Formats: sequence, structure tokens, C-alpha cells
Amino acid sequence: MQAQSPTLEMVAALAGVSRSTVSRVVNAPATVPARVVTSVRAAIDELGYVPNLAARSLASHRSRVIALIIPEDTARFFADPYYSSVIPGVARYLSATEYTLALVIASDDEPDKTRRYLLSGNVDGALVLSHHVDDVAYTELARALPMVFAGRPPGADDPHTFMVDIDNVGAAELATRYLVEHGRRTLATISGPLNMSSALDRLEGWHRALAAAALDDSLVEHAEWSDAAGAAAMHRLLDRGIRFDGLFAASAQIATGAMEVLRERGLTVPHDVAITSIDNDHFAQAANPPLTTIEQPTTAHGATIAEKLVALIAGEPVDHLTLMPTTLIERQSV
Amino acid sequence: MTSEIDAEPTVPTLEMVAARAGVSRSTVSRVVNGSPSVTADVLSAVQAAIEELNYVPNRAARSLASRRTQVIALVIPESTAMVFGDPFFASIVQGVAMYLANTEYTLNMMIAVESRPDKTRRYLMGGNVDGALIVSHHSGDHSYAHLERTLPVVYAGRPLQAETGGSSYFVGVDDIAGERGAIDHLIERGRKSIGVIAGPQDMPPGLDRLEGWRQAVRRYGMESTDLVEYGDFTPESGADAMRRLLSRGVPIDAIVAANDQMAVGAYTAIREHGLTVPDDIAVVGFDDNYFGLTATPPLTTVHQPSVELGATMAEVLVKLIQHEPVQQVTILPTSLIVRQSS
Repeated sequence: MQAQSPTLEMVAALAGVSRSTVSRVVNAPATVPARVVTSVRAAIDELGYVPNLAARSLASHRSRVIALIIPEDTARFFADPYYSSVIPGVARYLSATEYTLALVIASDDEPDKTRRYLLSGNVDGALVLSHHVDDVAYTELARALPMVFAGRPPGADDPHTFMVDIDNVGAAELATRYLVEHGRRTLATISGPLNMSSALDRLEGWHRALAAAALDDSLVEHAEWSDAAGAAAMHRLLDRGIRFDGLFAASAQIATGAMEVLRERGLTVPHDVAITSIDNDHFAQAANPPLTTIEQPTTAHGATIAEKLVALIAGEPVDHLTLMPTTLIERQSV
Repeated sequence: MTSEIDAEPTVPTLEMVAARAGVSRSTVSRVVNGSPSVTADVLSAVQAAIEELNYVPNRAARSLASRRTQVIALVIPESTAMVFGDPFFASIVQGVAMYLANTEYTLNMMIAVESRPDKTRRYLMGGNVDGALIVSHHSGDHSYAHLERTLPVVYAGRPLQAETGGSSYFVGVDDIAGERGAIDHLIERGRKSIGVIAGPQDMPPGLDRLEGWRQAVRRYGMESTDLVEYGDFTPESGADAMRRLLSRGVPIDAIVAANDQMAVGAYTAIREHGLTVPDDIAVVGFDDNYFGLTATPPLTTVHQPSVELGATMAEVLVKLIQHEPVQQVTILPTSLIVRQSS
């Protein structure tokens, strides 16, 4: 099963030129007379020759591969609807370019393995989805490799960190204000994990909206980005024995878990507790009742990080931060 | 705010290592590529410099010498929606990633439909990877068949003979025996008229699970030998196939479906006809995933060890790449998980 694939030598022989002429046609056709380019390309087509990347990238320093880093915890990767809607956006944008997309599974135990892979010429750039992950390890790589982050990673102030994000503070402020405008006066929140900027920003937005309305903002619980964690946080909130009539959940998945617990404990949504959240994924849509929530355009988000990375690799000027618009979706949970 | 990447990279270079160790560029290169023609003193000086500077040899330079990339591709020629919607893929990827975590290999996953198959093929044949794992339900896509001539390749499941000449390496389960076992179980439970919702007939799981049903029908001398409808492995297609079977007006007291999603879809059609599972119609799936586990009633199914399948594929590929002896065909056992639908 070893290499029967056509070689540079075979192309050279068929076209009746030297090895180095074939190499120049592959790497720098402008330096070769058009007639020679035509005959070499005909030989390449006839033999089905694919230039070896190792040889080509030594000449051009380009691999034409873009990596998208995904977490080693593949169960989480496949369960989080964020990934399944961002990736088609990335893939569709790149399909019209010269780049191949490789989803690179990060190694948690050996971060150096992934770092080595990224820095040793395998890829021209990398995309990191920092939406639900704490990616300290990758931000420092951005000095050596073109990288674009979806979400705001730690170290985001570094001008080498290029990001596409939503205005998390503004989105949370809007979702919280919506509860106040619908007559809710005692509000609680379940935030995301506070080692993540998106969670911190959403909590900040909640505080701002309540400060503006001069309402109490002490009913705060935290959860990982999962429905199970949302359920546990809701138990803790209710166990405090303080009645509340509105909840802002930092994600639809957290809200779904919280709603289960409200039901178990005899409270109805929205009659007893009105709920708003962020994300319009299947959790928001399948919730009972369906959630009033802030939609982020995740597929467009994917296309935008890809577009930005391609521009960055090409050496074009690129904005440090791109903010994607969000939309309030009104349903039956308020 | 607008800025650009520095023109001067901050990554340590071969030249910096050479300067630090007080040797020439080509000496550093020989150390990096494992040449034996370097004295022990020089070797340790260069290695110390590499560590101090945290130098990573450029892959293009290294692999020209060693022809190794330490990258393994996992190619899934399906749509993203399919990859995320069918838990089979998640389990395979998990198994592959688990096995490779303890090796020197980095895993590249390529969802090849959206990425254009020609680009993926060029990538695989262009010296970027040491080997490829190919996981698909579909064998209709021939773009990867001739990869094996240039690259070690391991398939999940038996690839169709016509494409590969029967010389391919693969890891699979015995779909025929698995499906026969499901029907043995239904016969033991007193079922007499057993229909099948088969998968697409352009792929071995679709073909072989149907063949298992056919063999059992003959073996038990069942009267109805044409109780077959086809789906595409989605719940909706299972419901449609079940509706077609029920509309024939022939008595059916059991159904085997070629995967759990179609089995759960069949529940919907059975209920629409005012019938219950398992009292009127027993249902058995194939795969053993959360669709069956969370169904009401929980689904009896043929368990296929998907995580182990992924891990074994990775193991076979690594051995192939390293020229270690390895079996061309590895068949993992299935087992029947009896729950409340039969």
C-alpha cells in the first residue's frame, strides 16, 4: 500500500523539463514561460500529481490549512449547540477559499503537543471558540501565529488578540430590563462560570439594569454552562427562602435546568417567575414554555471569524474586535 | 482599532538555537532530524539550547527529512448536521481522541461535505498527514477510495468491495449476526410476524442489517418475507417507513429497525395507529444511543461498541503507520440490550 502516487520526477519526464522547472511551475508560475507552464500543467493533470506539501511549503511558507481548535472533551463538544451552528459558518466561508479546514482536537494532558502542531508549519492560522472555554494557553500563541477568537479570551487587551464577540453586557442588560419593564420587581440571576469573560459581562449587565431601576441585585447564583448546573443553582436560590418573580439566566441551557426545578417545586413560568436568557438554540425553543431570549447569530459568527482570519493571514488590516448584532426574541416565558 | 501581526515573529528560530549552542545551522538540523553523525557533546549542547529557547522545529523542514507529520486525519464525509445529529459520530470521535491522547499524534477532524471533497483529498494526499481514518455511513462517495494507494487508511465498518478491491483495513461489527440476534430474541418472546425498517442500501450497515433479517426470516420459516421498508437513519424516515408497513394491512407484531433513531420514529407511527409498544408491536433498534435510552418505553437494541470502535481504528492506524503487524479486519462483538420495548 505504499506510495504509488505520481512524483515530481514523473511529471518532469512527461513534460520533458527539469525537476526544478516543475517545482517553479508549482510554486511560482510567473517565473516560467507560459508555454512551459501549459505543458507542465498538462503533465500534472494527466498523472494526477499532487505537489507534496512539505516541499511546497518550504518554498512558499504556506500550508493553506486553517485549524479550528476543539476541546478534547468531545462529549461536551458534540452536546453544545454552539459548536454545531458555528462550524457550518466557518466551513461554508472557507469552502470558497483556497483553505482546508481541520478541526484539531486539543490535548488536555499534553498542551505542548497541540502547541507544537500549531507552531510548526502545519497551519497558516487558527480559530479558537472561547465561548464556553477558558483558553489561557492559546492567547499567547497569537503572537506567533495568526489567530482569531470567537468570544473574548483572557488577555483580550493584547492588540494581537483578534476577536469576534457579541456585546454581552448590553445583551444581559436588555434581557434584565425586559423583566423589569414587564412588572417584575424582585429579580434573581444564574450566571455562568466566573472564570469566563462572557459570564462576567452578562453578570455586569444584570447589575447595571437593576441599578438603573433602583432594584435589589443580591440574588445571584453561579453555574457551569449546563442544564444540570442550572437546576442545582435554582435549588440553591429557592433554598434561600426569598420570593422572587423574575430570573435572568446567563444561557438558555442554564434556564432549561432552572425551569425544571421551578416546576418540581410547584412554581409556574411565567406566572410565578418570568425568565429571560441568552442563546436561541434548541434549549430555548424546546423549553416549556418556550424562552424569551437574546439570539446571537452563531452561524454568521462562524463565517466572520473565518473571514477575519483569512484577511489576517493575507496581511490585510483587521479590526481588533468585531461585535455581532443580537436580537431579542419574545416568547412565552415572560 | 486596527493592527497587524508583527513582521518579526517572536518564535525561536533554528538560527537562534545555533547561535546559543555555538554550532552551525546544519548541525542543529542534524540533531533535530535525529542524525547519528553528531557527537554526544554537541548533541547535549544543542538539546539544552532547544529547551532554553523553547524551540519547535518547523514541520516542513523536519518532515522533508523524516517524511513524518505526526498528524492523523479523521475524515467524516457527511454534513455537519449529520455529524452533530447522530450520536454514532460523537462516540467514534471520542474513542479515537482517547486513544491518540497518549500518543505523539495530533488528531485533525475533517467534516468533508461542507469543506469540498476535492480540497480534503488534496490535503490528505499532499503530505499533511501520516494516515487517515474514514468514518461514514455512506459508501456512495468514492472520492476517498484510492487514497489507500498513497496513505495508510483505516475505515469504520466494511467498505464496499467494489471501491477498494477488498484489501482495505477496517474495524467494524458483525451487523448480520447482530440483527439475527435481535430476531432470535423476538422469536423467543413469541413474536411471529417481524418486519424490518432497513437503512440505505448504498452502505454496509444498511445492507448487512437487512441481510441479518433475511437470514432469520428464512431460518424461522416466517410467512411474510416482504415486510421491508427503507429509511435514511433519521427518526422521521423511521416513522414514514412504519406508516407504509402498517398501511399494508398485513399483521405485524414486531419490528427491527437498522438504528435507534428510526426505531424511535416507528414508535410515533405505531401510536398514530392506536397501537402500543410492546403490547401490539415489539420494537428493537440498533446502535444503543440516547435516542433509544430516553424513549418511552426505553428501547431494546443491539449495542455496538462505538467508542471502542473509534479507539481500535486509531490503534490499527498507528500500527500501520509504524509498520507493526496488524490485522486487516477487526470485528468487535455486538450485544443485545433488552429494555421495555420488546
